[in-house]
Amino acid sequence: MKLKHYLRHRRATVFWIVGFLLLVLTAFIGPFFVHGDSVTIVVDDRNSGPSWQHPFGTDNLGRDLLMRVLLGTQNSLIIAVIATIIQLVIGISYGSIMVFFGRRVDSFMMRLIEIITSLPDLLITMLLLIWLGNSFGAMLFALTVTAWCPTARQVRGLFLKFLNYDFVIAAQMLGSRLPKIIIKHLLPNIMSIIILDIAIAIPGYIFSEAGLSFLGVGLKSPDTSLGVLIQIGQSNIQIAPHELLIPGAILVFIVLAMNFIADAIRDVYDSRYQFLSKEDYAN
Amino acid sequence: MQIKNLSINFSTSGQIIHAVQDVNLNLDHAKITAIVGESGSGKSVTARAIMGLLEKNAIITSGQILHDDDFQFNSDAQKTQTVDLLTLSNKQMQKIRGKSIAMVFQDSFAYADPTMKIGYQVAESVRAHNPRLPKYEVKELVIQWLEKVGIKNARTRYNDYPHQFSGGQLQRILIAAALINSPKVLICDEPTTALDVTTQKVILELLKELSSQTDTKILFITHDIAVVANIADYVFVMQNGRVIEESRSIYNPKEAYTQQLLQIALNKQKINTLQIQEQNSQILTATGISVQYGKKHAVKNVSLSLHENEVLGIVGESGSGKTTLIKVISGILYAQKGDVNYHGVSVAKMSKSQKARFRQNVQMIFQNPNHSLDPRMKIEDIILEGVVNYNVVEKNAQTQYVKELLQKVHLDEKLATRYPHELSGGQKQRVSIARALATQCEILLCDEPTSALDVQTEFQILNLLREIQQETNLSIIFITHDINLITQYAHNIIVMHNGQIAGYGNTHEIIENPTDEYIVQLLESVPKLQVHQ
Repeated sequence: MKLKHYLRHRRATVFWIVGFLLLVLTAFIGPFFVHGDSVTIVVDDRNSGPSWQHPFGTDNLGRDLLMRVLLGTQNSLIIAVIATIIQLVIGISYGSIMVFFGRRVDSFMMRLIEIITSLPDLLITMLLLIWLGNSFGAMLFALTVTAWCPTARQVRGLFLKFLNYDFVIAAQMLGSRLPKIIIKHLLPNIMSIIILDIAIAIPGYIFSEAGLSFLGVGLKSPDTSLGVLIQIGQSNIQIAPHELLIPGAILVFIVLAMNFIADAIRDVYDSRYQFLSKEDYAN
Repeated sequence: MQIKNLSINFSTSGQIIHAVQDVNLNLDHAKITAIVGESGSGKSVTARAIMGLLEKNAIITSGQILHDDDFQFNSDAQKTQTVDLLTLSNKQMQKIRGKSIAMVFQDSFAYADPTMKIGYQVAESVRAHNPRLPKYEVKELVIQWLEKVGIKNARTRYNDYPHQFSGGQLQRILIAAALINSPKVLICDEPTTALDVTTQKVILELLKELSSQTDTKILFITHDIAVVANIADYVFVMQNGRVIEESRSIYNPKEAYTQQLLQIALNKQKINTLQIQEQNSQILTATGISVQYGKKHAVKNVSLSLHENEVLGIVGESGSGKTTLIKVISGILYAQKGDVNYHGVSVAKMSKSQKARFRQNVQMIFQNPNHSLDPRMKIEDIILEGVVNYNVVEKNAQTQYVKELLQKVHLDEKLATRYPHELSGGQKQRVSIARALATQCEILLCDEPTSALDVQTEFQILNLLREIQQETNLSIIFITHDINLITQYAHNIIVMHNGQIAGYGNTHEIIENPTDEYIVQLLESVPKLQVHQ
C-alpha cells in the first residue's frame, strides 16, 4: 500500500527501477540473440565504429563490442550480487553468534572485527588478488574479505537494541529461547534495514570490481566485466572513444539506478517509523 | 482572545484527517480556562494554531483567531487593537509569540536546550523582545522571576544546566520563561502530565497563584478532568475535533460524553473494602529484595506476599523502584539480596522443569502497547507464541483457542489475521492480555498497563482485567503511579517511596488511616473531585 502510494508520486524512481530491470534482462537474455563473438580475434577489423554487423563496433582486437558489453555487464552484476550475498550471510551469522553467546565470546569476536577493520581494506583486496591471481573466485574472496565486518557490527547493534524491547522480554516470558527469539523476532524486524544494505552494497561492489579491473588486478581478458572494458577503452580513447563511453555509461546507469532504488526503500521502510502507529503520527 | 469557527485538516499519505472542526473558544469568561479532551480530540492542535506552530501538512480551512493587544507592526503609536492571528505573516507572529502569547509544554526536558545555561535560556525570551535592555537588568529580571516560581538560590542556579534540575523544577523555570514578558495569554499544554502527582500539585498551585498576581489569562489543556476541577474557572470539553460543551463548572455536564468522563473520574475515588478470603493460600512471596545499581539502591529490603486470586497494587512515583521490583518478581532480573518463592520453592534454586512451570505461570502486561507486540507478527501468531512453547493445546485446536481468547478479551475474531499496527492502543493491550492468558498463567504482572491509554479505554481495560480475575483464579500484581486507579480494585496495596515500602496493607486501611507521612502527602496531592450530588 505504502509502496504503491510512494511510487505514484515518484515518477523518476519508477523510471530508474524499470530501466534497471530492462538492463538486467538484456544483459542476461541478449547474448542468445546477438551474433557477435566475444573471444574470436579478428585482426583486420580492429577498433571499427558501429555497423550493421557490429552495432557497438569492435574492440582493439576486433571482438564484437556489443557481445562483450552484454557479457561484461552480466559478470559485473553476478559478482556484485554474489558478493552481497556472501557479505550478508557472514555478517548476519557473525552478528547473531556474538549476540547469542554474549560476554567473552562477544568481546573476542568484536576485537577480531576491530582488527580487520583497522587494516586498509583496498590494500588487502589488491594484495589478495595479486597473490591469488585473477579468477572469479579470487575476486569474490578479495571483495568480501573485509566487507562483512560493518554488517556484523550493525546486526549486533540492532539485535542488542531490540533485546531491550518489551516484545522480546514478553517472548522470553512466553518461554521462547534465544535462538528462536533471534530467528522469529529479531531477524524479521531488521529485514528492512538489510534490504537497504543490499541496495547500497550492490553498486558498491560493481564500482569496486570496475576499479580493480581498471587497475589491472581484476578480471583479465578474455573474461570480461565493465571494469575490464573501461580499462581497454581508455587506452584507445583517441581512436575509438565509443569503447570507453558505452561501458562507462552503463556503469553510471547501474549505480544511479541502484541509488534511486535504495532511496525509495529507505523512504518506504525507514526503520525509525516501524514502531510508529497512527496514533503516534497524530500526536 | 477569541477563536471563531476554526477548522484544521491534516493530510497524511493521501488521507485527510479533520483534526479540528468548527471550534469556537472564548477566553474572556475567566482567568483560567481549560480545554479537556482525550488524545486526538484536537485540543493540542488548537493550541498550536494559536501559536502559529502547526506542522506543514496542516491546512486551516476556515476560522479566525482574534487577539487583542498593543501591537507595533506599523510605526503607529502603541494602541490596543484586535487582529486575526491567522492572517499574520511569520515575521509578525514572531513578535507576538513569547511576548503577547506564551506557551508551556508537556515534556520540559525536550523544550530546554541541554547545552545552554538555564539563566540564558530564560533571558533569551526577554532579549528577543527587548533587545535594547542592558544585560545586567535582564539578569536581575530573570533572577527575580526564578525566585518567583520557587527556585531556591536563583542567583547561583542561574548558571546551572537543565540536567541539574528535576522535571518539576524545570517546568517551573519554563513557566518563568513564558511569563517573564507578562504575556496576555499563557497556553499550558498538559504541563503536569509528565510529572509526579506531588510535583503536579505544586505546579498547579504556582499557576493559580501567578494568575491571581498578574493579568495573564491561562489556557490550560489537559486530559484529566480532576485537574480541571481544581484549576479552571471555565471549561471547554472537546471530542473528535469539536467543542461539545462549555460551562463554568465541570460538575453539571449536559452531554453524555462528559457525564461519562466525570463518572469514571468519580468512580476512581471510590475505595473498595475487599478482603482476601482466608482459604486462599499464598502462591508467591518475596523476602528482603534489594537491588543496587552501583551505589544507588533501586529497591531496598522489600518483602511481599501474593495470595491466590488476590489483586495487589504497587503504587509509586517515578524512580520509586516499582518497575525494578516487578522485574525481580518476574525473573527477568536477579536481586542481589533477597529471595522470591513460588509455591514454597525459591526461584533461584529451581530445577529446569520447575523454572519452565514458573515462567509459564507468571506473565506480564507492559506499559507501552506499541512496543510490547512484535510488529512483524500477526495477532494469532503473537497469541500462540507461548501456547506453542509450553504446549498448552494440541496443534489442530489452536485456531479455535485463539478465537476463544479473543472473545474473552472482547475482541473481534477477525483481528486474528491482522498486524499490530492496524489496531488501536486499547485493542493492542487486549491482545497483550490474551497472549498472557493463553499460557493459562496463575499470576499476571501488570506494569502500568493503562498509562498510555485514554480515560475511557483505561476504564474498559481495568474492567476487563477484573472480570477475568473474578472468572478465573488469577492473581494480579498491578503497578501504577496513579493511586486512584487501584483503590477500586486491589485487595492490598503497597506504596513505594525511594525503593522502600512506605506502606503495605489492606487498601481501605492504607487510604483511610495512612500512617506514613509520605502516603499522607501523596493522598493530598492527588487532584480530587468533590462528591456532592
